[in-house]
Amino acid sequence: MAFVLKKEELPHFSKHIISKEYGLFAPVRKEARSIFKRIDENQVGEVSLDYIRTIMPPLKSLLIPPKETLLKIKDGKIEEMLPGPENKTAILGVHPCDVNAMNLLERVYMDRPKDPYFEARRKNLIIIALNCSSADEKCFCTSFGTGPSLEEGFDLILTDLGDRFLVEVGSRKGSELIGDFYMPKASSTDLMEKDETIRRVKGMIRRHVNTAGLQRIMTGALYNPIWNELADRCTGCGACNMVCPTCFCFNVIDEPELDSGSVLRSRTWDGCLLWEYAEVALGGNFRKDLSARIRQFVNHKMNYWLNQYGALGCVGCGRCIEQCPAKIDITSIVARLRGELL
Amino acid sequence: MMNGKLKVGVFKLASCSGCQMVLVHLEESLLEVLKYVELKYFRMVSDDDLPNEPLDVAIVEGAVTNEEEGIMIKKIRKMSRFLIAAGACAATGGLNAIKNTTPEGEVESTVYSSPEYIRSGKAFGLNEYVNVDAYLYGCPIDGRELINTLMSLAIRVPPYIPGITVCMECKMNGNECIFLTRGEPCLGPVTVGGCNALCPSNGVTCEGCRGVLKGTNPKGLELAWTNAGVSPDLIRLKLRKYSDVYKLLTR
Repeated sequence: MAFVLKKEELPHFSKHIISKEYGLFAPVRKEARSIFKRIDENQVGEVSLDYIRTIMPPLKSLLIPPKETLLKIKDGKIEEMLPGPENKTAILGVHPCDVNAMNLLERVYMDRPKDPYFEARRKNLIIIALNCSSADEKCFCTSFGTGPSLEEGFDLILTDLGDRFLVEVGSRKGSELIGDFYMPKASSTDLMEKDETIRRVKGMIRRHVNTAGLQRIMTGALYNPIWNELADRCTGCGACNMVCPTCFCFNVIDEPELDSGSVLRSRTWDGCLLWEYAEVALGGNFRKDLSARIRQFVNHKMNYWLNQYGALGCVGCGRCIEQCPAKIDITSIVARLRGELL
Repeated sequence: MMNGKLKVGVFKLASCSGCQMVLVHLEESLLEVLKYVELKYFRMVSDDDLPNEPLDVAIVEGAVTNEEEGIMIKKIRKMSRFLIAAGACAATGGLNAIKNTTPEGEVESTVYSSPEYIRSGKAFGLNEYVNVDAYLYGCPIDGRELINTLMSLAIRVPPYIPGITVCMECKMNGNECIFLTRGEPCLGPVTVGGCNALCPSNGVTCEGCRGVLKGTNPKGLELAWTNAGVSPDLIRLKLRKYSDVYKLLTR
């Protein structure tokens, strides 16, 4: 099923979602950029779907919050802090690369073993995706088939057709969300315009990773001097780990809570670029050199994921390239290792 | 569980007292902390002399800049089971250590009209003289981290000291990068996190007060600044402010 939503109707549609008792997350302007935030009824006018890339990956931030309390321990009793079914969440305007990144996170968190915290949040989540209507020189989703359009993994999906959005239904949950909100049915012209938009955006994407036989090439390059060379430039800051929508590692910490006399066990995002990450008891460290840590980051995405989870671990969102203070570019690393770039 | 209250002493070497003030400013939380902690020595709030008994924890603020302070820190170490270097000065020498890069006489005559009264040498963090068990970073320290550390020690678990960078916390806060968008040199990429990226989240660059995180690469950051057109003078001043980075780069 497909419908048409006039752009001036978007605030009403947002209100409709909130009225169905969903906590709504959507992109709003913050200075020159967009940032996903929780929107209440009075802020629906701020929702702005005209963006290419947010700094943080919205679905990762929702499903695995940067800091999440898992257990509360008091007087020998352990309480699991699982989000309840009342915490229904809707996310509006999330691009295909980010939805595909979440599909990858599901392979990590929903299988062998299931993570009950991730699962509870995922079950509570409804996804209103947004096909891309623009791209910049850091986008390379077409290399992984993760954008600029999306065929599955959403409940509803919008496409910007200038003065209106095409709204397509991807699941029963999505159809139920529309419910009694009236939208005219889409015509074949609307659908053709969508295809035209996607074609146009594909043409805008100039950056590529050649994935053919990539695993063999990456494994063959484990001792390539490029890793030492990159380690001279890399600051080791871990920003790439934070902004990557598929980086899923966390650390677990215990903190005493002063007022209640209990101890909180939380998990916080961690990153393989950090010294502490591969450190073990008595100070041993499996990745003492920064070069080994950069090699791990790049190889995990472009090589190890395939054996681990059956897909490459990059969706081509361009965030690590955009946010690196040292301007290190994962696509040019791969190109150099393939001999496609000097 | 705990064996009576933790006996704690708070000491000050060459410093501005700002980190001790953080402890005082905990106010209501301080009263909660005092259920687990007995303050045996804290000159800022009490005239009581140092008791003649061992301490469980010494919280030491300030850098060591002369012989007396060197003797003092060794005495504190001897009488304490757990020594916390609290704040940038105690951790790395802090702002005091700016002077380490200039001849002593020159520094003294710039600052004082009668430098002959000054008895001071190079400024160093506590670990140049004694073993330090835990560091509380920052200028000043973070009250929440201080509470966590004391409470963890009170219930006999190792305190959690974050091993992430300011840059990572800045990203988690969804901030636009000040260095990448405005070209201003920010020390966030190599600085120990735990402050929740306080400065960059408020639109100013990180000054590196929490010291360099082990495993990060300040030389790479210096190169990134240079490539972005930051002047060598500004880079020098920026790296020298909290000594730590400068020490690493010039070693």
